[in-house]
Amino acid sequence: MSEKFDFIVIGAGPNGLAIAAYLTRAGQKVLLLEKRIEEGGGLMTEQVTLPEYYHNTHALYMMMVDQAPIYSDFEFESRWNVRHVFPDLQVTLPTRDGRALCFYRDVEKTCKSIAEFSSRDAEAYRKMHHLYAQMMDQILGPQTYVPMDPAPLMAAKAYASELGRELAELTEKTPLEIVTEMYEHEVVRAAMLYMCTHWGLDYSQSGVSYMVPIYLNRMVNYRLTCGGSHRVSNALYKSVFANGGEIRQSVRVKRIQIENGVASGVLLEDGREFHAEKAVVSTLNPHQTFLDYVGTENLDADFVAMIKGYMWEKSSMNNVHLALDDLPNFKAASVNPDVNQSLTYILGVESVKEVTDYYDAILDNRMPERSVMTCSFPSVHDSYQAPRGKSTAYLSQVVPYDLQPEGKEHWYDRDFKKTRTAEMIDLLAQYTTNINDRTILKSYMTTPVDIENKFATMAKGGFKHGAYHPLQMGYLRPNQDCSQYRTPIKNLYVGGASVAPGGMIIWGPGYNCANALADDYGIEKWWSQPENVRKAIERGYV
Amino acid sequence: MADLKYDVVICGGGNKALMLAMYLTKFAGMRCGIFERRHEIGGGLATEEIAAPGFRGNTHANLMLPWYWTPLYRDFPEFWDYGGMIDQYKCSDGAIFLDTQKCLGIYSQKFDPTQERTAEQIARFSQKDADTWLKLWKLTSTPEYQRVLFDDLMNPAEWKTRPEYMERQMGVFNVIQEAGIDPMPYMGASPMEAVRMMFESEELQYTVLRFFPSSVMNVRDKSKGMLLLGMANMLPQISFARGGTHMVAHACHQWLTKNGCEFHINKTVTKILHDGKRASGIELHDGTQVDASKLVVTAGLSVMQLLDVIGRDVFGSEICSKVDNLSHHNLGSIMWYSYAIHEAPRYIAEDFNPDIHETMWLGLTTSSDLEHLGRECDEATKGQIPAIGDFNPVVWCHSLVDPSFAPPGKHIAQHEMQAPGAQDLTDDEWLRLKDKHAEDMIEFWSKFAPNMNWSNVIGIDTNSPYDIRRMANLPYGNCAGIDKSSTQDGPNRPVPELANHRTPIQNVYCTGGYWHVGGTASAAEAYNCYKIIASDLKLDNQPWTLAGNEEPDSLIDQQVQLVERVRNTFRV
Repeated sequence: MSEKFDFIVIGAGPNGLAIAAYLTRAGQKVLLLEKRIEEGGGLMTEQVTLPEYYHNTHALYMMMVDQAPIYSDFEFESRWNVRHVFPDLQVTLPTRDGRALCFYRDVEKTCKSIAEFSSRDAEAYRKMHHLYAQMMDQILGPQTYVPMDPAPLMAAKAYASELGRELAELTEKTPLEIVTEMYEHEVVRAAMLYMCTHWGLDYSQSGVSYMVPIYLNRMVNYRLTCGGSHRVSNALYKSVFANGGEIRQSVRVKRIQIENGVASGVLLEDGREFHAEKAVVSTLNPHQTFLDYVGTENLDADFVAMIKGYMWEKSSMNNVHLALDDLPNFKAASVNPDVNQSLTYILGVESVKEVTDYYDAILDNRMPERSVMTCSFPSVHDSYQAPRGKSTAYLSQVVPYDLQPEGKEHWYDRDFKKTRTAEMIDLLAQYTTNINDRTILKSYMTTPVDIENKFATMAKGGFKHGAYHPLQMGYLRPNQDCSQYRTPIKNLYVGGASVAPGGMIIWGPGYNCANALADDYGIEKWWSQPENVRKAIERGYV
Repeated sequence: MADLKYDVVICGGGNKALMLAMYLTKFAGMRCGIFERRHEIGGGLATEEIAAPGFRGNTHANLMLPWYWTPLYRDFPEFWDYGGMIDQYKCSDGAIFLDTQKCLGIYSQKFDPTQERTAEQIARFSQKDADTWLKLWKLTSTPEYQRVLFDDLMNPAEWKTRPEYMERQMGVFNVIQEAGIDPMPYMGASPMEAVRMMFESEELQYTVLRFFPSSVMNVRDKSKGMLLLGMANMLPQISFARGGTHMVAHACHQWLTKNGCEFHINKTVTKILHDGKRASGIELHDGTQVDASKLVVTAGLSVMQLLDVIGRDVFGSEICSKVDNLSHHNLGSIMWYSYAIHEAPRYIAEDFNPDIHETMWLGLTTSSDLEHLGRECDEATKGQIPAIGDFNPVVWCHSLVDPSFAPPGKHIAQHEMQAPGAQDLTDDEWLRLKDKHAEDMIEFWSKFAPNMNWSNVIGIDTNSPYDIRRMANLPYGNCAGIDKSSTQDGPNRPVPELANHRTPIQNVYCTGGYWHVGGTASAAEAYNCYKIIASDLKLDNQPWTLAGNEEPDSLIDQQVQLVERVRNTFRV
């Protein structure tokens, strides 16, 4: 006898939690199934170095707190006491000669910093900032929280307006072209290009460059969660329970049960069975959902070929977390004291060539000779995360998963990890006065294989559940049959990072999938359409 | 006016707080607010992925016993499904002797309910001991023995002096005598002396003796020899929490949140607000005040913290000086390492018994000489780690039985060994010892299992008493908070005046690992505290008074059903 629920959601990461939270609060009986003990997927806060040091071992930057409807719909701050910190200085690129290119929330302060390198670029930034903010608020933001239009319809809507036309033209350029046309100074170009590529955009790839305004706008809209990233998912987790939802954790799905073409439930490896009266929703990657759990025998050949053709990301992340006996002091802070309060630092690049050389090696599955990375000191902005007077550091480097010639297993080699850790710490030491063996109490590295081991959905260590490639984005993510959250199988839905609009902590797939389920099953929505979405529809952008 | 208001405010969010809140919610109809200092609930019910991401290491409570949550299984049917599950290995206990590369495997009750397989292994060292083992297993399975066991575990001190409890105490003596065992010589014996009296083969003596330090008892403690019967009985029952010990915390959290209990994390309770007679609520580190219209309970706070949050003057100098002089340095500070590894350990001793690698509480020792354990306990009381030759680690590999502990094809092993107290070394000394002990353990372990070398290691979590200080209620790094010596056990724990969970403030109660039973992940500390609260408030239709729930028999039945459920759910 299997337990009965209205909906079964597989995967309690951010999107799975969002779907369950919206549906349970709409009176639906929802069961969440999670392979790990902790809910929240990449929203993890762990004590991996020493007592009283809290590390956000995966997701750190909250990119859509001002855009995603979930934050207001669930009263994160008032109901669940989940607050965010929005540091004034967002990104800093310190140069080897002791200066610093600083990107503030305040556009004029940013222009003043850029002007130290190029007054022309300062003016270009002011123009870009306002244009991209407009694109974000009027088109790209709203598009994240509605189902994607097919390409022809999207193009038609774009060309109906001047802003839309400008965005469409931008999309066809490569990130490299966009940045080099807009800016002249190598340091400014390096910062701009790196902030696109760090999140997985290929600098030479055209067709998805509508992501450039997103990343360069969000670059000054990063927030941190007080108490650590896990607090965000924990709030939704509690909301699901408070509204009658349930979860089974540390479970392994064996089959999504299909009865004459209709998804009816889920069977676990340990024999437990759960029945879904309305729908089964998977937030896993397409291989897991369709090849591992649905089974090719329930799918037609073309669809199976499409799923097998799904492209994984070409790069992953190699992170080092440090417990520091001091607060970081950057050499460039002697010139601009704000530098010690920056949320993020880009270290190791001062020219376009240094960025493209780095990524050419990555795309060739080689480790670049010279290290490039971002780093952050979350406890500087949220004192809870480290003891008084001490700090946590999060060093993050884009790296290949299938390392050549050694292969991915090389990421398990402890000596290789020691040299990688030392290399990243040395890079940080070049720009700071007090990062050394005395102040580093403990370090903890995670590698691409660690990411894949921890999160089974992140194949090849790809934290966005699949490449951002023009043939696999928007209406084509993961493919044209599933990008609107339904699938070829009745009562089987998908709603994870491998579905439009994509990965990162943006809540898009989960929110849109919850809306699709409410529409298809006649569930009265207690939440209202977001204001910016309503305006975008009125303007014909969406 | 306070910012928040509850019927009962619970200070602490560990396993005692969670399980007590479940009873207060369901059987006292109270709306609870739980306030936890750390970022995660569960306290000792903790599992982390520190050795390497995707590899689960229990960083505190690891060993579970079927009696632990019997009240919860009886009173909260969802507890199992929400994640309150245990399981057992093929062998639940055992030891490997390096000098002979022989080993003794104690088969779990899941795999060997009658213990005949275990007796076969013991007989390879002594037929007499094999017969004694079966006799003990039969004796400890009798209702008389089980009733006395559950009476002691699942009742507050003051209830145990009631006539019916005393009668059952007498009843068990007859059963023991009928089994031909004279209990008197064990009364003043140390565990080391007791095992020598009960068994003849040193291998079985060592294997049983090895379990005393694991239960925070010094093998030379003259007051603990009489517990031999109980200790031997536990070995086939040694279990672990499916998915990791933290799953149990999540099981309670899910039940509680679904039933209206509210959690506040990252909140430190600094004061219980009272007028010397009644408490009105608490104050937090950030100045917010929380109203408690009925009760305030400290669940998981140390007895020292209890004195501070209420005010030492309220307790009076006599209780305060007893608390200040509680010993915490005998045993219980433990190195709890996790090893993310490519292959599970494979032992040379598998030639002697092919099942030995799938043993949960597997002792590794240079020889069966009991003094190895004696010296480890001696060194622990002096705040030292013994020389490698005297290492007596217990090792296990949960991923062999429950694949969710590690990524496909990989494994995670753990070891436990006595260690210096958290305050015996400086921070620098600790950071160096943590790494050196990893080197020593790999060197020692690889003598028994050649594949446990550094090339098999993906990562190690060097979790030590220094790290256990992350729990503010365990400042000494002792897993039980304070020693479980005879003067600090049962009706004396933590001090006689507080053993029954009451405080001088009328509506403030207290429990935690500093109370009986102490140093376990069981529901006992919460359940016993709830019994006192319910009786003081004269609440009716309490679980233990309902028809069919008479104690201790209803709890004994739950234990039998639990083992059956484990046997049927998780195929061997």
